[in-house]
Amino acid sequence: MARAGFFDDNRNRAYPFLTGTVGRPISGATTLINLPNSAIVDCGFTFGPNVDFDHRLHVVYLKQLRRVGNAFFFEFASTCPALAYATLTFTRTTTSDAYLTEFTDSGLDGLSLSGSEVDALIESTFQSLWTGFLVTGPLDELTAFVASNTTLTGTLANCVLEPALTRSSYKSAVTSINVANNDRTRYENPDYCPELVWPFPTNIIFIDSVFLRDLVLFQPGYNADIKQNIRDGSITFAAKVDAGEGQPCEEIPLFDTEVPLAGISGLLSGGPACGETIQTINGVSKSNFTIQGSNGVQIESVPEENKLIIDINLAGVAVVIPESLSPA
Amino acid sequence: MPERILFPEWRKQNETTKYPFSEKATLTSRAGKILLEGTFLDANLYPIGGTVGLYLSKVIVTHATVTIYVGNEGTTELCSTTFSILSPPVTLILRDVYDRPAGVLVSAEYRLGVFQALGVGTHIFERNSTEFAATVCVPVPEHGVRGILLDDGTFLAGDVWLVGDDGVVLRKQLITQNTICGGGIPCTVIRVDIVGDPLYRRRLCNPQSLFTTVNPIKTMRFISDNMTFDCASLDGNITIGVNNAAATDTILRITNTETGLKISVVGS
Repeated sequence: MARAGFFDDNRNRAYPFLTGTVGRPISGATTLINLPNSAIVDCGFTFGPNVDFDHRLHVVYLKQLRRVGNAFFFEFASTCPALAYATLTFTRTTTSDAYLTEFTDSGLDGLSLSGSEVDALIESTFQSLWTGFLVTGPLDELTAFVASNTTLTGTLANCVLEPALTRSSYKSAVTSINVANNDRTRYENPDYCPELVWPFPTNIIFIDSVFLRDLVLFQPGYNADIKQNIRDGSITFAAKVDAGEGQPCEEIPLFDTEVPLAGISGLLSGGPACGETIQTINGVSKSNFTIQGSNGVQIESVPEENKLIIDINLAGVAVVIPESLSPA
Repeated sequence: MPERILFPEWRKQNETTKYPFSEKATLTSRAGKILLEGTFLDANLYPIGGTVGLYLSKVIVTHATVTIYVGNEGTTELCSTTFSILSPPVTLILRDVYDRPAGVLVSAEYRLGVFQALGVGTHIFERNSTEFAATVCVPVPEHGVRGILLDDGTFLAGDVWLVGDDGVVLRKQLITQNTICGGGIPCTVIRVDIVGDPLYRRRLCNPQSLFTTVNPIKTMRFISDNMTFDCASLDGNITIGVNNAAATDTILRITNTETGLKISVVGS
């Protein structure tokens, strides 16, 4: 609300806080509910696209006011779970001018993630969880209200911000593209065979890259057809034999360290390759192959040994023995 | 002498004004129905695509609910909110068609009862009658990629994951994109390879136990008297033939059938 006298009015009323949550006369211990109306005359906050701030459930409030020497630290917090570890702190001194405006964001301090790799990732891809501005009034009343080296706190019902001073940009943008692949279907031995042991974890999502931003393109690889329609902004991905880069000559690894199972086959899935199984006998291809004995031939099977005995015993065949072979 | 409060509280101050509507708003619908001053006490409107002239464009009143639409002259239904007439909230949350936050309207439970007085039906408002004050409107142009919409209506925003599955492999590559001005700019490319998943039928079986592991024949062992030899194929085919080099003729026959082989001897 930018108009003449707006800040002057706010020096004398609860705004930007809800009426009744600030500026009450001191009775008992001093808390933030006793904060003078003149201390803060305006503020506003914007939440990042990944923060699910819901006005029905969450509020922004002044969590803490510290005075260290002549410096004041106004620490704002939210009941939104995504901001549990992210507060916004504004700084003033006892001699700051009236209606001084300061902008700040949650910065790295507000993030609870740790670890060097994660930190490096955050530094390169950081986006503020929330940002805000604060306008303070004349601070002489506040200076008298808070003694040096004192910290004032309150409850969630103290110094609660007017809801119209917050802005949620949840889901307002695609903040990053992240690429991963599900594991391929791995070969498993039949029940009575030893279990295959892979030298790396399987049946997990393999992360290829994270936090892709700015200019991102899609490239059709093997058998891939990608079409873009600039009229409706759509991108269609289709599988098409020989499209894109054509057919691959080798299996495509899902991740850099993926290797075939040693001693089984050369395939990344661990299963037998086509040439490693018998697919046809004499050119006949049947999943259930029949070997049939006929005239003079008997076939006997021994299933438990995976054995067929082909006995050419000429049974039932009239045998004519040449004279030269006949016994004398 | 009448008493005057010098510095009324924020909401109290707005009760008797048109705020958050603009001063020139008539607050009258196309059919002549009037929206009272003080119905709303504050607002903050930021629908994506809402740039100039946001106004309350439509109110739909049923016996149980009220739906309020906010838009501009290009898109009259940029965002909306629905509340129960019987138990209205204090703060109305506006959302757009993709369920993204688009603003708030601050009121009070008893103030929202005014919508019952409009009567059941659809009430259309023109821009000049319900335009909001500029101070409560945050222009949000439609810049960049704001979301990914799938065929089934699913809307994705924020940190979006693309996961290759069932034979689709996604990989990040870096390339240099040539520009018409010469030189190149580094680009991130997501390469899409569709290479299939040879064992996908196993994956489709749920639970896994429905799938019987295929145990193909990889080797055939031939045993004849004292001789044993194994035949494994390199090209997938095994040939069983009749061949006796010692005989000029043989009565043994191996013939193909539709489902396999028939082994017999000729004669009767």
